[in-house]
Amino acid sequence: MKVCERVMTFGTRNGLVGILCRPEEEALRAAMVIPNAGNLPRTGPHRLPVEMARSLALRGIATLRFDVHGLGDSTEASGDADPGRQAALDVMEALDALTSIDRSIARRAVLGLCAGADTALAAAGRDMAVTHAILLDPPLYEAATPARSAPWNPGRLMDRRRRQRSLRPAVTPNHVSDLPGFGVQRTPLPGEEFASELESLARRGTRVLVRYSSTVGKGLTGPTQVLDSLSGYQFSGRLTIDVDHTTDHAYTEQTARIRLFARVTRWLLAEHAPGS
Amino acid sequence: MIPIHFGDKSAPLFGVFHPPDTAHREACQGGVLLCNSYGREAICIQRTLRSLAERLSARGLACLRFDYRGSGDSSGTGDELSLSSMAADIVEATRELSVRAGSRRVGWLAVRTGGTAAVTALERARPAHLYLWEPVFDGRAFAGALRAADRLLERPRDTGGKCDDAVLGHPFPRSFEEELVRFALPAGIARRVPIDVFGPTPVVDGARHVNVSAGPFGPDTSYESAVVPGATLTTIANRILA
Repeated sequence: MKVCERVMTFGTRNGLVGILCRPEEEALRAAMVIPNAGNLPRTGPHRLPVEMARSLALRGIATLRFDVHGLGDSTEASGDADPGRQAALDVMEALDALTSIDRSIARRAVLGLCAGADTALAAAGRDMAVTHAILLDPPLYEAATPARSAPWNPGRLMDRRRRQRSLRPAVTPNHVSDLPGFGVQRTPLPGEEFASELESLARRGTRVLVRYSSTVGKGLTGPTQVLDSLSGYQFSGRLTIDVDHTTDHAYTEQTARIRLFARVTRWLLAEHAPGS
Repeated sequence: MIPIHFGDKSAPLFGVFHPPDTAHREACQGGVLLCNSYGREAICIQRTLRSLAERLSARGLACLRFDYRGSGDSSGTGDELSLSSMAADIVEATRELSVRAGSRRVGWLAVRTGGTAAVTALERARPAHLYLWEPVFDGRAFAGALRAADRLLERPRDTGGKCDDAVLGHPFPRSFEEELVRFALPAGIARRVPIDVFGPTPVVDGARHVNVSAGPFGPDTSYESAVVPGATLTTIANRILA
């Protein structure tokens, strides 16, 4: 299968710039939008979005990696919209532009890394067309008191009595100022909003893959801890949590990137029971 | 600003063409090709080069920014990256800019290893003017610093394998490293082409040295601190426009 790429400009006054990557001739099995990771240009850390796009195209998945307003090659935002909100709107524009090449694509995904995960989640929440959301290192939440030494304190999290007494189902941001941000100071959603957003997506049928690296997921032993902290919410089996201790936040090693691409492809193209 | 693919249609390069402002079209003196650095530095300086291109094009100069083969949005994989491939891409991009600008008068602004590649490219093309921004002429020291920083990088306990031909997550093929190590600044180069060097220290005999503070370069530069002062950008833009 051959992969082809072309420049796309779209959005208001064609101010958004991205690269469409798709299989040259094969029918498309899914479409995915990839916004910036933090303040980095769309090519991201270690060219991750570029390599991912080309890898996914070989499996029939079209992608549009692009710069939101104010980053990379895109223009500044024209209004005075909150940057986070504007970025989410830009993702929606991108998804529209991407799916315009083939309206029959049923699987429509957004993928974000770091602050891009915040953007992807916000866009998925607003855009009913999103069927899959992939969040790489979104904020990790823990119960009430921030851990002093580690960004994640499993012991505190697993203290059910404490959580149920004062926090349930609350999860609150723990180490906001320490969040890796690729040049941007992240201001994550309050934990309850994050969990509610995931629940809303699941309720309407959108599947979500949340994947933590060793950097943000330091101290996590596995997905159960995260799911346990979200036990007050219903995801109907549509939320998948990965914890990958073999990679860092920036997917520095090529081997980690290759594993990520395989995981995303497998998850995105997986068959699900009707109505699940 | 026009994002484009150019060159070999089966393996194109990605670039962004900045047409000259129409108000200055008559005064247009040709074009400036912006040759980025390699790896992390290229990411850190991307927005700065865009800003510089916008300033220059607003004053009547056509500009082209581009990604080397195997980097950014251009075709190819990182293992294709080398000093000679970067030099070939500079020549290709010069051709593209000449056509788009309608002028053969094209200068090169080359950053760090982009400068190393630009000097290498002089064997095949001759810019109207060469502007070097903290060029890397000691390839051995540059490669050594990269490798040292890579060794110090904190990694997960099991990465599932590390690629030998990468430093700090960026492809760094042995052939590229060997070319950098072998690189030697040709003697009397400033007599062959007019050269300005931007940076804290003069590094080319006979070239004009324009003193600007050290840029956000080097293996330790973080994305957070990768900021070029506006004064530096103004100095560079004014010198090119002079």
